[in-house]
Amino acid sequence: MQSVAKKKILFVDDNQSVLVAGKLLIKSLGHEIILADSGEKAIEIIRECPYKIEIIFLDLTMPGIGGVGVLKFMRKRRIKIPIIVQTGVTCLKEFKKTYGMDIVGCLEKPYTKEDMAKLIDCAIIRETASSS
Amino acid sequence: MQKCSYVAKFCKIPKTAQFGSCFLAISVGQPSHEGQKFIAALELVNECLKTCIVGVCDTLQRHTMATIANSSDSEIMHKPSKEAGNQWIERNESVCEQYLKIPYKIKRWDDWIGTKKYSCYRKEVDELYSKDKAFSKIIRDTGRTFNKKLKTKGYVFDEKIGEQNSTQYLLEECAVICSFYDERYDVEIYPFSRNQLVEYTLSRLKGEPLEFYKPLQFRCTKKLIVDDPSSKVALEKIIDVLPGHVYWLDIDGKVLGCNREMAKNLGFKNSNSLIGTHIKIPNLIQEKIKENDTKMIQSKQPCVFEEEAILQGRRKWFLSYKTPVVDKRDKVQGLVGVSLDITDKKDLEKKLLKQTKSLQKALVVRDNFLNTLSHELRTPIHVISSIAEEIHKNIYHFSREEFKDFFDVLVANNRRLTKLVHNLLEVAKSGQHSSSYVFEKKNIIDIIRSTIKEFSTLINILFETKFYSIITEVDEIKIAQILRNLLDNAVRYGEKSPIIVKLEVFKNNKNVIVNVQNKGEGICQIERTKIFEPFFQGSNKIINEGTGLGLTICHGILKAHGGSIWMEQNEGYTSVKFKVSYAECSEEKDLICG
Repeated sequence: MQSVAKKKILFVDDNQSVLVAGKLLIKSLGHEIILADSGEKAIEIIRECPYKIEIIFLDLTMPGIGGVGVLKFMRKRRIKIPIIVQTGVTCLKEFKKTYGMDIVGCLEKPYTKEDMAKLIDCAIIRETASSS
Repeated sequence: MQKCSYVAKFCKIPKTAQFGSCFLAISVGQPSHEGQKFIAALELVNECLKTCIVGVCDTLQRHTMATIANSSDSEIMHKPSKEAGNQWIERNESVCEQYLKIPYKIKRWDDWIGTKKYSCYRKEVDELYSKDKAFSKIIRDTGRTFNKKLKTKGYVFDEKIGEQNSTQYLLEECAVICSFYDERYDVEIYPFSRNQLVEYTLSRLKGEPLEFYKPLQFRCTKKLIVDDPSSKVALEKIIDVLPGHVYWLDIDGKVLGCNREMAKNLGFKNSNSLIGTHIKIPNLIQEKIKENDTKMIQSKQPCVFEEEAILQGRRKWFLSYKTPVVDKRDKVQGLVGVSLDITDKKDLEKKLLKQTKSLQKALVVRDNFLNTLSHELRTPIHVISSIAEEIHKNIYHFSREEFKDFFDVLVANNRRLTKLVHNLLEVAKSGQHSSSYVFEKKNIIDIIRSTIKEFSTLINILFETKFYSIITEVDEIKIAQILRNLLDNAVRYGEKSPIIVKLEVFKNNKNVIVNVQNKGEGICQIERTKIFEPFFQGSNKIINEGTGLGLTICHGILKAHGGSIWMEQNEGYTSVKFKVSYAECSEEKDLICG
């Protein structure tokens, strides 16, 4: 279960343990990972190298600007990196209404490596379609 | 047999309702429990019930009689109250015999308070009064209202005597009503509404939310008896029995005529006294009604308004149907109005609106709680399952160091999950009714000292008090738990500086405040109001390993103790203070110990 191409993934979560688990899963899927423990840090990384990051795993519930702040920033700057949202919150109806178009999919914690791989594949397909 | 000129009907149910047995409560001295109105009540009982106990509550009044005499000894009024009961029976025994067509029995207050059952219930009620703060509050409040009414009637008495007598009155009434409950009447019939005390007592002592004890209120109205229905006298009588206020005014708003109900509600003896006057209602409301009348007169069309009025000190709402009266030239000469009292409906509307709002608020709180709970539970589960699965699948791929790092994360998350589940159960328990707590008289200083000892290896804690003993009625385990949570927070947020635990004693209202103080960054004003909400963790999350439930647990425990908890901040120190009441305290020389 390894996605075809090696991708550079930005993994954003305020919980250090989730970052450890994310790193473990993404590396085992054969991708490269950059970690960010807040929305602010994620924006900083995106700003610095917007073309190098190919997929973003984004937690929604974080102190500060949170995941939604990152989405707003990207919308404003028209940065089109495929985003996979991960969250521990169940009620995402309102969020999906507003940001559904901007994201590849949602992963509800706890999710498996298989769930993760499927969405990474979707992100790759979407990225390929938009660039061709 | 004398013909009854009144007719009684239940306020909220149709007259055709049928029940089995009833308890017809008689307050000796009440005008509605005598004469024509009493006969009307008996006729109503005949129609709707199969058996009846006429309960003469005579000697209960000895407490009120003592208050009126400004005496704290109710027992000296036992004889006169019994005598009043004897006289009532003398006047009404034959009335019952004449008018009650169903099997009945007259029972007197002493018939209940002389029983063993009463003694048992009285003990339980007294115990409830000493232990249940909500119950003692209702007793005090009801007593106060009761005595206020007596004072407005012109009686002069000492506040304390009044309070003592009304408390005895109410405790006795509650215990007797528990005996009524065992006799299981289908309904109690009473012309007035009962206070919430009865419901509370029965639900606490009998353990049921009671539909049973909702007395059926009834109202007596005069029967319409006319000899010549086409006469002017008949017309007056007819409008007198019509519901609500019926009135007709001239173009200037002067009353030309009205029914008795309107005169009565405006404080006049009869409708003639109102003729030629302007109806007087406090300013703003009067303006609004005038505005409505002008609007209707200008439009020359009948109109319906909801109008507010203050009648005899009470705010009331009326649904007013008003029609202009025009002469042959179509010139408006005045108006005719019918105003129906819709105060109950309005109050119910307000109550429903308030309840709906608070339900909506509760739903938002619940959703937020569930969302945060979901996040807090899912995160450690996700970490544990992801890492464990990965190690399980690729056990030989990892180095010893990697294993150690992964297991550190696994253990930390497992601990967090365990603590979270434990605290969630504690939150649920702390919010339980105070009856699930074990309240005992304990020296709070001993509880504080032994809890501080648990932390002695972790941090230096100073305990400042000049008291040797402060006896409080508390659940020792729960109070220790509060202190443990506060000390735990102080260790976590206190920048490793010493923690100070101080006691402040307020002798005038017998309160003791425990203050747990630490040096630290603290929490901003806006966040301070939210710290007792579940999962609130503040923005200074850097060193936070808590579950966000500790202060919620403290808040719940103190609520059950009738106490409170709050946070204060000044000059670089954060203080979390909690307050409970104490029974007695003894001072010692100034003492500071670590």
